[in-house]
Amino acid sequence: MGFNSKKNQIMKNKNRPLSPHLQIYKPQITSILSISHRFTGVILYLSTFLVSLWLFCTAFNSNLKIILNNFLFSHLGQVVLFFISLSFTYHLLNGLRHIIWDFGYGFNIKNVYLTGFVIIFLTLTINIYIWFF
Amino acid sequence: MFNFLRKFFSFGFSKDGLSHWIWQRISALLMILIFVVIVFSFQKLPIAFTKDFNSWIKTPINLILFIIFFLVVVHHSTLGMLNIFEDYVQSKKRKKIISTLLKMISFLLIFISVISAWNIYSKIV
Ligand code: HEM
Repeated sequence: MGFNSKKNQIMKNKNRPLSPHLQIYKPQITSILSISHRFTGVILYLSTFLVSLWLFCTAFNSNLKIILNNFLFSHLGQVVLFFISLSFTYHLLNGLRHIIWDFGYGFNIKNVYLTGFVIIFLTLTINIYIWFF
Repeated sequence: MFNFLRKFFSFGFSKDGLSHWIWQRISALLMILIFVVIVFSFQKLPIAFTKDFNSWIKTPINLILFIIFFLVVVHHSTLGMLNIFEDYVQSKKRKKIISTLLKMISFLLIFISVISAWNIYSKIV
């Protein structure tokens, strides 16, 4: 069969990249915020492991409890906790935005951008306030 | 109606997409509600979190609040993680294995946390 035969063309089309093609998809605030919701959701799921571990140590093993608490109050531990609280704040606020969308409000592009910026601003303000004041 | 109720009380874990979607949102709203209550009740103990948590959870209402919160969080996030695997895992068989594994892990998380919380609650200090 020739290289440019009809069948070959169809095969080519079947292998087309699925959208959105991440290497050529232009990052925009909308897409970044959208994937951030998913990303923070996964981080939060992983942090429930930490909560579970902390509860377990606090309840059953005072040695492990001391080690874990020392870690959480070390610099690295505080950075971990900072990112968890950042994720939680962001996910909560953006989740609210999701739910407002689900009721049919805020869909025009102007409002999507506006609420997006409001959420970034609030997330940063709340976390800076909690951690530095 | 009966069919709807059956789907609804699968808590989002049936194959039905609508009930998954609704429960993801119900749990989200519940979390916001409980979270606000917890933050307000925490405000009464502003010393050291690790010590305070132990005394905070010794009040029965707080224990119940915490357990419900944890249940809702794990419910919500398990539905969310299932959704993510639904999107990125192509093979049906692998999807089945991963979702079973995920549910088991979530169940274990709940089991460990509830037992531990109960233990802290009933410890005499
Ligand atoms: C407390 C407030 C929270 C709110 C309002 C909230 C809201 C939402 C909403 C509306 C969705 C659906 C998004 C969609 O359909 O695309 C979602 C997804 C998700 N949430 Fe939450 N959530 C909250 C807390 C949490 C917590 C604490 C965790 C983890 C422990 C979590 C983990 C997830 C995951 C893994 C997803 C799936 C993400 C995806 O499908 O892209 N969420 N959340």
